[in-house]
Amino acid sequence: MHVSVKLFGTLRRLSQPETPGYWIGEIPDHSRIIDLITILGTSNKEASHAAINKKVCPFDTEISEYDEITLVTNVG
Amino acid sequence: MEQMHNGFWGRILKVDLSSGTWVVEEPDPRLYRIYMGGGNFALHYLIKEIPRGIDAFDPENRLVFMTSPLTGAPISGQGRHTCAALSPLTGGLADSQCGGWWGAELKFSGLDGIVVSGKSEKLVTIHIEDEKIEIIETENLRGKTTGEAQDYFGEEYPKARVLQMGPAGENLVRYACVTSDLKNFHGRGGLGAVMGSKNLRAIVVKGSNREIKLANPDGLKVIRDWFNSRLKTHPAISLHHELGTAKGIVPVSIAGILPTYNFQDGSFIDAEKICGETMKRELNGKTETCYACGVACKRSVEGKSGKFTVTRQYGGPEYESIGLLGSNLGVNNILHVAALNERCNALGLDTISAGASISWAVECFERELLSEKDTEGIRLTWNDPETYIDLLDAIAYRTGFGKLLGEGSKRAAAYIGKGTERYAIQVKGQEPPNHEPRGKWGVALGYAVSNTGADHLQAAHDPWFDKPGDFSKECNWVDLEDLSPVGIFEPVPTEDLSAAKVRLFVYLQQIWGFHDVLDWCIFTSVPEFRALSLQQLVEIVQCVTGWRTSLFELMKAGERWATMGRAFNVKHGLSAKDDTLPERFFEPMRAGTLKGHFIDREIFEKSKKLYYEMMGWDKNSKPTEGKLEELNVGFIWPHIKDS
Repeated sequence: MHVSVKLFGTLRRLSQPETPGYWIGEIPDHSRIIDLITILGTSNKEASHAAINKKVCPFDTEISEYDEITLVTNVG
Repeated sequence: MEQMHNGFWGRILKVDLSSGTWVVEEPDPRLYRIYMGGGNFALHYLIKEIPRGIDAFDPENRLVFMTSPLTGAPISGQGRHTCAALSPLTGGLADSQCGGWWGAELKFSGLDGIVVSGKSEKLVTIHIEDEKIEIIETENLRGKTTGEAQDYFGEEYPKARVLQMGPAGENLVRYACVTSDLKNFHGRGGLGAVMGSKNLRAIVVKGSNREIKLANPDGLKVIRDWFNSRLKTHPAISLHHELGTAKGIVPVSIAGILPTYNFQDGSFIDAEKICGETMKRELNGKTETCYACGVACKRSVEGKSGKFTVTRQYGGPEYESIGLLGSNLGVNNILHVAALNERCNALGLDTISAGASISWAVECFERELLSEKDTEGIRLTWNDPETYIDLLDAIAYRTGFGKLLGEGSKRAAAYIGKGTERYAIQVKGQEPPNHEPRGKWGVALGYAVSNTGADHLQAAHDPWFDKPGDFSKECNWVDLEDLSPVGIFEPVPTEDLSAAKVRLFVYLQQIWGFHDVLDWCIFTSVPEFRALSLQQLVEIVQCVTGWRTSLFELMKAGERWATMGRAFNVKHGLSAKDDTLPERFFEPMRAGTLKGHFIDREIFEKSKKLYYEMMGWDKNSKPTEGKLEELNVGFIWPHIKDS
């Protein structure tokens, strides 16, 4: 399924060159946020919080097609 | 002039503005080893020379500018210096580090620091060019913005570096700041107002001794090359270069710890409109740097829309300013935030206290505790940048309602009464920066026990240390494993103030304490970034000074900083009862990711008591005679034994 992922903090380095700050692509149906984090090549050690359509949610939340996902890292 | 010591000159300029005289003092070189520099050396003078019981605007107050042996060395991270005094905002210590180029320039002039006392009859500037020192009248600059004064000094003293107050300092706004070359700041504690009380507009410096004497230049080059090789590949540092501190706005909002609407909420619905990514895109954000630093994290922005214009002359807003002039006021346009930031910089106002004083007024107006009669006809609402920018001018020039806001939220609320005190979010009179402590309790403890009032740079923040150590990923965010050299191994939850958290806080405070006394930037090293390790910081000090130093000695210097600062406060009448938090932080958060979260008051009070015991302070937070002797600052005891 198709998803759009906004990346903040050091995760920004995982952006696609043509879309700074975003990763846009296909992931398997019924993927959870933690699966997406693995697909992106990182872990929940770096990613600290996630939101789907601007609502903060746990990493085991299942993603739906066309969801807008936000992933951030810890940052004083 | 030949430099006699590795890393320092052994020369401190002492200026008496009352008599218009000065002398260069040569302190015992051993003091440089004991204090390391920065805040510790400043406190040496503040404790010895400021009489108990004076007001911060008394000519007997001292204003100390200090470098460290590392300042001006050819390596990233050293481009900072310290300014300290008795604070007109808190009645205790004001101790602030500032980046930029002025500190290195002072070092190149053959001085390690400056101690200013007295009060000039007219507005003056201290001009230093190597061994030429003069006090010149600059009444022509009275009322001028910092930008106008910078232009004047640029014509009079080409290539000199300028440290100055603005109109807010001249008018004794209690949170007036000091700016270095318009883009770097001693932001907090009202140090600009202390300059104003002395009629000192600026200190202009130019030096020709541009190579600091080093004990081991080859060793320092090895570390510098290692660090520079990682600038572009290190995820955290390359991001910090690209976006600066503003990179944190969205992550912190999503985590629920972004102060919003006067600390009522912890998440801002429009965080993405005021974040670093948006600033880069919409305001053509570029990077600037401090002396000899490859990280280059400073912002420079420009933009224009309607009434709001922002130029690169004043740099650009940092994370703290974006919060207190943005989300905490409901402002959701990055140009408006940058314009408010620029106006603060031009007037010489601390962006944090200025923003928080206005947000106090807005909330009180919304709750009908302030009326248009109180505000002299101003209607206050959230997200009203046009009104706020006018208020900043009124604050700096002490006109209308701005005259009251220039006292800071604590004094303003005490004057108005009617329950407005509850909405003045402050500790010891100083408003907290852009970190909501209900989501990170170590920061809450830091806000309370900080000797300078609410301060986010007492110790690295809790979220770094809530997961087990994992050294498998090189060059990533900091990791608990990085603290193993000081005996920290176990993760501690963010919302926790157990003995383990207090112990973690004490050690982290010592680490950032030695960063401060070395005037070293936290954005190069553990615990903020996994770049330079604690051991490499030790090696840098060794390479510059030749001292056979160790992490133990640096940690002791950090501990000395916290305890000397506490002794200074005790001498001036502060005690454990002042180590409090605003009532709001003990109440459930209204909205955001951490809606309903609050700090447990009983646990907080217990942690404070434990902190004092770990520090070797008594139950009133007075350092014991034994602790002072152990830290080799026994001279302090007679100053506080009867307090």
